[in-house]
Formats: sequence, C-alpha cells, structure tokens
Amino acid sequence: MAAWWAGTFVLALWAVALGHATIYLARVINGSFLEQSSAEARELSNKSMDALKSGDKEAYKAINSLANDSFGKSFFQQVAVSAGSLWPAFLGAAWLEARFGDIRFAVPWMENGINFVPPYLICYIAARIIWGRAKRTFVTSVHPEMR
Amino acid sequence: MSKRILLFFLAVSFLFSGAAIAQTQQAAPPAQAPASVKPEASIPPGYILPDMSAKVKAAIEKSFKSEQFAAKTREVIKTDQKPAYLGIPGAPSPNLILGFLWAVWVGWIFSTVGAFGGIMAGVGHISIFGLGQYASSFGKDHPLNKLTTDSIRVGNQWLVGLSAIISSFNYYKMGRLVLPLGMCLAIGSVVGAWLIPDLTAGKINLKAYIGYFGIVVLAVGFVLLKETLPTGQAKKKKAKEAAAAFEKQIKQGGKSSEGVNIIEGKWGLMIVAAAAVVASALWNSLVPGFKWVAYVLAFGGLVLSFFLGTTRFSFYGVEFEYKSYLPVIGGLIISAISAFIGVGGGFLYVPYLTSVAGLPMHIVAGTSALAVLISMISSIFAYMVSKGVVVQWSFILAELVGIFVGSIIGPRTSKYISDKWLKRIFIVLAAYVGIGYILRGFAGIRIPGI
Repeated sequence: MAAWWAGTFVLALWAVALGHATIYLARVINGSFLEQSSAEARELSNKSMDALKSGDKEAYKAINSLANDSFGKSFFQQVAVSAGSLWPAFLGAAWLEARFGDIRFAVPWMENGINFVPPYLICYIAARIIWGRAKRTFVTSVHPEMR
Repeated sequence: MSKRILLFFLAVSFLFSGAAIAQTQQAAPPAQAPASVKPEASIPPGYILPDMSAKVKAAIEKSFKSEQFAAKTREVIKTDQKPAYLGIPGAPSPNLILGFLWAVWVGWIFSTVGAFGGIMAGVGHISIFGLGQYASSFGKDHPLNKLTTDSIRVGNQWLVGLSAIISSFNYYKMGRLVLPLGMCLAIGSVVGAWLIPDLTAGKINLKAYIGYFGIVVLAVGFVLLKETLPTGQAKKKKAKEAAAAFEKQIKQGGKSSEGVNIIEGKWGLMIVAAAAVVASALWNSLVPGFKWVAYVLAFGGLVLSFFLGTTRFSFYGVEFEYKSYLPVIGGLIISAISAFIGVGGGFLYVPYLTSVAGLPMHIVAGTSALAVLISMISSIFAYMVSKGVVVQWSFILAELVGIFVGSIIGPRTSKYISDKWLKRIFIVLAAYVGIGYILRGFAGIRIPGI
C-alpha cells in the first residue's frame, strides 16, 4: 500500500512538472504576445482609474468600455494557455484509471469505498505545494526573473 | 502566496471530489439495477453489460418497460458491436484525434476572438463527435436520449469549470474584489446553478437542448454584429477619442483614498442569505429525499436578498452604489443560462457588471471570475453528484491539449487577419450554426453540417 501511495505521488509530481514545463514553453514561444495583450488591458484599466481619480466620469466610462474589450481578449487568451498546466493531471488520471480503475479503497463511512481519484488528488495537491515551495526557495529567490 | 495556492487547490479539489463521488456512485451497486442481479426477464441479453455505469443500466432497463422505447432501444443499440461511448454497444466512439483537432480550433478562437470558443466547444460535442445524432436516434423522451444529452452538457461544463478555476486564481492575484458584490452574485448564481440542472436534468431531450443552444449562439452572433456595425464602430471611436482627450489633459486626482472601501452594506443578512443558498445546494446534492428543504432554503435566501438594501462603496475616492438584489437576480439568470446550456457565464458577467452596474473593469475582473467559478462548481457538483451524469475523462484530456496548442497558434496567425474580418467570419458562422440548431431543435429540419 505504501508503495502505491509513493508511486502515485511520483506520478503526480511528474504531472506537476510537465504542466509547468508546458506553461514555460508557452511563455518562451508566445510570451511577447501574451504580455502585449495583458499590458494593453492593464494600461487601459489604469487609465480609467486615473480618469476616476480626477472625477472625469465621461472619460472614465469611455475608457472603461475600451478596457472591457481589451480585457476580454486577454482573459480568453490566458484561459486557453492555462489549459497547458492541467493536461498532465488528466493524463495521469487516465493512466491510473486504466491501471487501477477497479481498485476500491475502504473508507469507514462509505459502504463501497472510494476509487483512485481522491488519493490521486491528495498526491497532486501535495506535489503542487511542494513544487511551488521548492521553486520559491531554490529558483525564484536566486533568479527573480524566473517567476 | 501559500494562501493563493490553498485557494486554488481547494477549488480544484472541490471539482475533482465531485467527480470522484460521482464515480463512486456509479461504481456502487445501484438501488434500481444491481450489477450482480440479472436484469428483468423482458430485457434481452447483450443490452446490459457489466462495465456500464449504474445510470446507463437504469436507463436501458427503464426503456424496456415501454414498448415504444424498447423498440427504439433494440433498433439503436447494436448488441453485436463493441461497447463505446458510455459503455453502450454500437455507440459512437468519440475519436480522440478528432477531439484534439477540434479543440485546437477552439483554442485558436479563444486566443483570437474570445468567448466564441466556448460555443465552438459545444458545437463539437453536439455535431462533430456524433454524440448528438446518436442521442437523437433514440427519439423523443427516451431515457438514453436524456442521459446522453446530460453527458454532453457536463462535458462542456468541465472545460469551462477548469478554465474558471485557473482564471479566478489569476485574477484573485489582482486583489480587487468588491466582496459584497461577489457575495450577492454568488447568492443568485448558486441557486441558478443547482435549481436549473435539478429541474431540467433527465427531462430535456437533445432536440430541445440543441434549439436553446442555437438561441444562445445567435445572441452571441448578434452582439458581435452590433460591434462591427457603423453605430458600434462609432461608439468605439468615440470612446477612443475620449481616452485620447483625457490622456492629453491628465488631471491626476486630488483624491487620496485608493482601493475598495465599503461604506454601506448589510453584512449579517448577506451572510445568512449566502449560507441559506449554499445549504440548499448541498442539501440537494447530498441528502436523498426531503427535496422541499432545498427549495425552501433557496427561496428563503433569495427573499432575504431583497432586504439587503443598497450597498455603497468607494473606489479611488469615487462612490458607487447598487441595489443589492440586482446582482442577485443577475447571478441567478446568468448562472441558470450557463448551467442549462453548459457554457461559462464569464462572457455575460463582465458586460453585466460594466454596462448595467457601471463598475470599473479593475473590480469586475476578479468579481466576475469568482462568480463563474462558484456557479460552475455548483453546477458540475449538482449534475455529477446528485444526478450521477457520466463523463469521458480521456476526451477532456485530448481537448485540453488541443486548446493549449490552439492558443499558441492563435496570436501568431491573427496578425494575418484583421480583427474586423475575424468578427465578420464568426458572425456568419454564428448565424449558420445558430439558425441550424434552432431549426434542428424546434422544427426538426436539418441543414448540412449541423
């Protein structure tokens, strides 16, 4: 049983690493496009704040609507790119289903126990937290540009 | 940072646990159709297979109780063929490569045009993968028709739900939330997200679903059209001019207070209303029987929201106010549409909050992402846990990879097509798909490709 948990944790860690690698790849390939669209949305949004601060409601309304358009575009771009960080988790789940789909884990209050998904999820969450902490400690504290 | 991670994973775990419980339920020996017990004598061999989920078995058994449905079941289910979608022999087997390629297209749209991507994902589930046609082949009111329709709907929601988690997490980082506004939206959206699936799951045929989906597609096409018309262009031009004029005479403010500052709001009553609606959703998902309790809690929460009065807050020293029941009603309607059609509400929340409530983009971003997340979690939870709807995991995987690839290609190709022309292409597409689905759903007329 301990071996199963260890193996599942390693699988989850692979899924996390692969997800990060995919996002890193996206940044390398398309970083400038993504930054450009989010910078535009940010700029318009800040400008609308300036208008608001100065009390110019008309200018605020106009710039806010432009910021809305720009933000919508940037929003969906980010959403689509973010799919890259989660796909390995589903690959891991699909593999576990094929390999251990029939196995049930006994849980006190559940008559039929649970399948592999909750234990895998626990491992995946733990792996994400450990990965994040390790990255902060060993990478971004030394090279802040790699956040 | 650790708090953000915790928030992110709490949301992910909520979604996954819904799926896990749903799978557990499927694996559990069902009350109506125990896997170990032989099916009724009237059910011919080969129709119920051991690997089928309890819901599929129950639907097949139910169909054999009516002569009309039994004839359709015999006609459509090919017992001599291999089990495919949902474990049904002779059902279409969604092709992972086709799913991937379609998702590349969806990801491309997401990164070039935006919200229309979610609709195209739905088109894939209905038309491209052959699931819609298979569901229709069982005929109106057939239990397997309803089962497959719910499965298509939840498939859409999984994609949207995952996107909502990621984007909420990203926008949470912006730290600009009007909490009472988010709570009011959530009160409405939680009710809309469980009530609509509860009232319609297993009752809506694919034909009707397609018809309603068509109406939404047409509506989105209309919004795109409005933007490209001279009046829409003039409005945008005017906005740009106003922005430029303001830039020239930058009058940096004399107001000192920054960020959101709540001036007036009935917190106590708001928390009670939110607790009541969350309890209603949980009761509906987890407690078998006494359904009326969930309805009373939901209704009570909504009624309380009418006593919340006006909420006032300041942002960068400027005061904003809104009637608290307005976002509750907005959240209810938007999440009901989202849950019913199986699309995200993001493209509706943002214009609702900026245009109707007149709030700044800075605030709207985080608040609407939170509302989408809450309504999607409740909706998926309601479908998968209380209704036990079945979803194919490998297919979601292929779609996620495809969307990612599409999102990489999108920005690189969009420079060759102007924004205006992209929108025009999608207006034509929306009109064709929308009218096609409405005709198919409500009049039974099929046009090529739909």
